Amino acid sequence: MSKKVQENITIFHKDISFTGKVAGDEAIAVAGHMEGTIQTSQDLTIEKTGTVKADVKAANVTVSGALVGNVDSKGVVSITKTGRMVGDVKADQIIIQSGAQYKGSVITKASSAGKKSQQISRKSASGSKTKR
Amino acid sequence: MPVTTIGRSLILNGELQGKDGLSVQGIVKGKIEIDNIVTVEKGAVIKADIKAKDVQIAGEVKGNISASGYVHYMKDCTVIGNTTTARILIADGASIKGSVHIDI
Repeated sequence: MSKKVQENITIFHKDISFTGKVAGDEAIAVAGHMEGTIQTSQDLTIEKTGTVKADVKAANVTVSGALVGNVDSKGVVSITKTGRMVGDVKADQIIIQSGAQYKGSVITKASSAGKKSQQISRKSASGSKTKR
Repeated sequence: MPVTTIGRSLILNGELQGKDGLSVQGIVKGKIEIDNIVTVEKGAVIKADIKAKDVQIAGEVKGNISASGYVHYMKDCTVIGNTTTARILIADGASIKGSVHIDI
């Protein structure tokens, strides 16, 4: 999804759990458990086995596991078919694949550029199948 | 065994736990508890107590280190803190300040 070639990626594997604050300038992938805040100028990927309870700020965000928390992204937020997410998304673009579970409100660049920021109802109950 | 490598530009502030191996190139503050090997690479800065099976240090550590296996202080590492371990190896050039307790 990212145009740039990433030299570095930090992968938090399945049996690793972290509580606290992560900040940095490289891509992060989470297959384990993480709680707190995550901040990176690069991409964040939450793998199938990953569970994250954190406020996230990243370039692009891909959720294939579980994410509870708000996302602030400069690029694309994508929730894949195995992804489950609860929280608000602020992003340039959002992709919610068929089968994904999502609850929260969305502000994209397109909607905030419009007359009024359009928010998708908070109650798009879990299991909702929204296609881009 | 998958090794989680904390990259050079990352700063972690908190508690890191797990069963996998851990390698740190960046900065970690808080606490590290790993049931496997912890490697602190050259250039890495740790301000945390480390509890692990094996510990290998080439970077900088400020905190107490406790290992059930071995502790390996490599050349040019800096350690400020007490060490408790079963086996220890201190390379020539390692700077260490603190007590060493060898548990048999």
